[in-house]
Amino acid sequence: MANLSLDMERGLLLGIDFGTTNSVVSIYNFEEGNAITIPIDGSNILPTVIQFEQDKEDEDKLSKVFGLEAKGGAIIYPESTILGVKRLLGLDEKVAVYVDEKEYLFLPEQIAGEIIGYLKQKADEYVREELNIESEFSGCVITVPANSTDKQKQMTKKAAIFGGFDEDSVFLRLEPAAAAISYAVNEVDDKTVLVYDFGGGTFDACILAVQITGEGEPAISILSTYGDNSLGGNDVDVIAADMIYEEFKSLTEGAIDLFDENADDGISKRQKKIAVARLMQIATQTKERFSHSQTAKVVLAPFVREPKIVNINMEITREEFLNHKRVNKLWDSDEVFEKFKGKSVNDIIDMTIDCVDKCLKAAKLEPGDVNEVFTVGGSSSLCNVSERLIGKFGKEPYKAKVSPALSISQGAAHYCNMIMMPAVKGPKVSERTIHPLGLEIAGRRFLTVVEAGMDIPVEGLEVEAPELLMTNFDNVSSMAIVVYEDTQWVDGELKYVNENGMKRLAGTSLRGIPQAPKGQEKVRVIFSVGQDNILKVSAKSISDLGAGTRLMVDDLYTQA
Amino acid sequence: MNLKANLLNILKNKEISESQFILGIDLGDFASSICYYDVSRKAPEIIDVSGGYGRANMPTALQYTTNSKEWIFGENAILNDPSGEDVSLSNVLSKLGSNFHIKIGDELKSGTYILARYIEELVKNLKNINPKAEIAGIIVSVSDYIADAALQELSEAFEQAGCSEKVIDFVSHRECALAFHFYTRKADKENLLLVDFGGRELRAGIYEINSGKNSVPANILSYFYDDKLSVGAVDKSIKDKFIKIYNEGADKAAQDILSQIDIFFYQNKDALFQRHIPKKGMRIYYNFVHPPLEYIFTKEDANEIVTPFKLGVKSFFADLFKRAGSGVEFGDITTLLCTGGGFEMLWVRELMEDLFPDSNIFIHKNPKAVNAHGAAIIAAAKLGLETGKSIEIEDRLQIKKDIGIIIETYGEKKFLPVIERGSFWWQGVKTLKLTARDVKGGEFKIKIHERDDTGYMTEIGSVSLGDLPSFSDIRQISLEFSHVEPKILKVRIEDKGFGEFLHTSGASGEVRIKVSQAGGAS
Repeated sequence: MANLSLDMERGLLLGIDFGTTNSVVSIYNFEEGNAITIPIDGSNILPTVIQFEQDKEDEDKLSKVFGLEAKGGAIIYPESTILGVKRLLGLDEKVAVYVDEKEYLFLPEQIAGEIIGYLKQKADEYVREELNIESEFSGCVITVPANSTDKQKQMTKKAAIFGGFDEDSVFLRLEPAAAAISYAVNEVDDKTVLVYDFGGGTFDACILAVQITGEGEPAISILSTYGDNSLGGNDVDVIAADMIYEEFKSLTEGAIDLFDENADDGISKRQKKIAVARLMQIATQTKERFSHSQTAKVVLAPFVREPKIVNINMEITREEFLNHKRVNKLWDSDEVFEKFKGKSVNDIIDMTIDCVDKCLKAAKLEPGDVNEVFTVGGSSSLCNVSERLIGKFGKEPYKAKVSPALSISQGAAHYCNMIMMPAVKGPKVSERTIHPLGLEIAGRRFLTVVEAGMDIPVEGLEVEAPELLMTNFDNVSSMAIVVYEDTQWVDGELKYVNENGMKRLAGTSLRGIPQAPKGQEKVRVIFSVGQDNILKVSAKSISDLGAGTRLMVDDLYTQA
Repeated sequence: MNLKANLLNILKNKEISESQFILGIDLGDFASSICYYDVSRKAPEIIDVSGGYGRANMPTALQYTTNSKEWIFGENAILNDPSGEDVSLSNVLSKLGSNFHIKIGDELKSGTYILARYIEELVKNLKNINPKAEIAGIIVSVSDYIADAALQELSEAFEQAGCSEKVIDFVSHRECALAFHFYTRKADKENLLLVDFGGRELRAGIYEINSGKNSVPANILSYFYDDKLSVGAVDKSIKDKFIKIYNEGADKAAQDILSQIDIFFYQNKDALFQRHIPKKGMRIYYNFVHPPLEYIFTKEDANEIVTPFKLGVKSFFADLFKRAGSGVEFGDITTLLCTGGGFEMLWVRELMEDLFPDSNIFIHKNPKAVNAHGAAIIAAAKLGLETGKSIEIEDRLQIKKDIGIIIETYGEKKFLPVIERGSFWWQGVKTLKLTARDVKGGEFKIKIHERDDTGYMTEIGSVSLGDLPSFSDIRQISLEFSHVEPKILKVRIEDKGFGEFLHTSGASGEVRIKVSQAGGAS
């Protein structure tokens, strides 16, 4: 039985990989110097699914079901089951849940918080019952995709706080870096490693340098990262679903639209929802089948019973699956459909390889400079991914000594150790900024304040804007402060904020600037980046006459 | 089992590099495991064949799909609903030694050929850890008391899989389990109960462990197994319950769900039986039928399934202790070592705690992988990497040589085995009826022989029927062979006459013979 010694002041920290499809939690074992994944409901992974239902004892309350049980219920209760909430984090829209035909609205971070709370509850039970530790997890290291926006990071943190963790003890770290730790922990040689992290909802490519210190411990630094926050295995599932739906359309001669609830085509709303949920489920199974097989059978007999029985019985080959160009919008939003319309699985893999290329370029490396390719995330086992990586790097990718599904969470547990016991031996990660961060200035130009790849010390990185902002007109008393992130930067290139890859993080007005002729009043802007890569911006009028004004990033969001 | 000395010499003289892996493989009836010995951590590690998304062990299941002419393995073979002429196999191990063949496509394929495909796939997982991986050596964990014919076929399967040169040895499950347990523990005098709750049988042995510095001397006091209490038997009960639930809950349009029940069972068993079912029950969804069916599976449902097995397991242990014959009681067990997939079920773990409240109970987090862990440790030790303790099991329970008599038929003398090699001393009485002709009066003596696996025979004693009257016709003689304790064979001889034609003289005789000392574990 593991014996975990603890930093009692901080309490226990839990390593959390909160994924789009599945979530995993791990704890650092101080005795053995390794990470242990905590089983939840009989499995290492918990499907990131929640289902709401009427509380039997209190009509005003909703009770919740999580994980596998909730996932199983998604077909019968599609309206009260939420899958893939991670993709919604950072959006302002509320999520509607219908229980007994009554509507309930939740913020995405509330729903995520419920799931994280369940992970915490189960992890607390585990350490109490299995490890005999009379304590609970007061904090966590929760991982986020390397290319998360600042707002997504904030909302992830908020979800963890909703989940029951202390505000001051929620630490965000990057998923590929966490995965790299689990890889590097047993490493004995200096290496340059590409982490290819293809998850359910996101893709990240990340290049890391692993250097073995004089004490024999790995020191990891992130050289570059590039990714797409709306590109994941789920998008591949939709292509499989599209193939099956095309067959359905052909069998019904297009007379039934399962995705238009109001269409009068002889099938009830509820039956449509059930059919869509079954379509989603079998599409995922079909995709998984192609990871190990050349053909897949799809049998849905019957698929629908109204207005007539329609049986789907088809066989798809791997080639067909890889090359099918998506036709239907299905359950995706207009924006997502626009991105993937006409795209095949091979195209999606190309998109990930494109991110890899950009990541290499940002690190100023060639494929031959990469010593190892390390694949993480469930979608990395998708057919053709390995072949493409072999083609590019001339070597077979590693999966992991630690299983790819668990490596991020176990890396997060190692991070827990670094935070709780910074003096203890073990791998160290030099945190660095990922993308250039800056301000919009006159002429819609982008003024870089924080460069990509700057080291972030433990106390945080503070960078003052290289220029003071000046008023553009006479007698103005406010100034727009708009913060951008350049996700597709090229060193030394002049950029404009309306170019591709520019993400507007937040914007607000700094008020209280003393009225004066244009250019006389100046504003100093300071960017602070913590080790969790969350940005805080403060702006202050420097005039002796002007009242000091300080704006933090939270204010920027609320006023954006 | 013979050690491949040449291979060992080659391997021992070769430095184990980062890309060379020392493996322990356990081919189980339901699930198989592959472990490697992590040289830097000096500890065995399982190779998680699921990539962490499911079970680390690989179900011992294969499927051949005729359309694409390809094999699929493990979980994928279970979750894929076969159609047409697809062949699904989930019991290849149990057929070892029977010269099993099956039609695959247009050809008849042997069990060893099929098992070889599975071994190839299992070993291929090594590449997931390191694409440049090479095998330094393998120890294969096999059933305690595996039959020679089964071992021969298993060896052939490894040869067909291209691994035979890497196989150092085949080692029994119990030796592997003890090697893993004592890897980090000192052997002190104690009574240890090793329970293997596996797919085909529940097996248990009581071992008297003695102190040893670099070895673990283990004297086996009792050993017992029961196939009615296997994980397979429990699984069947669960599947039957799932079918019953569906038949009672589905509407008139109920479908035949038999083809899907294995998949449904595989997806739901762990969630239902590896933890406490909440008070409000746990929902299971028959989503593969239309309309889907929802059922709240309660504690009572679970109890209905497991109660008969609980009673069976209790009675099993009572028998095991009775056979120990040396006064060892439940409370005398210091250590309870649990292996096998059965220990993933919460009720089994709780039952062990109830039955052995004062024992130190060891249940590994992956009880299915214990033997493979132990095999990896033994492999490392054999390659000179570890000074792991050697497991020295003194086994007096199994008969190591055939015991029988020499008879003459049509003028030719031949050995007739009565107790066969591999059986256990407690396996009841074996009776033999002989027909004797033209016997002169006086003492009638039959010599008892042992025969080893090379065919060499040794006389170990004789049994006599004294004062038999002379007769010129035929007469039946009964011989009863049984063991009164592990090394002592009792042979009873009796004149049976010949029915109504020739009444028995009432002559009888009995002798106790010391048989050969049994060998080691494997």
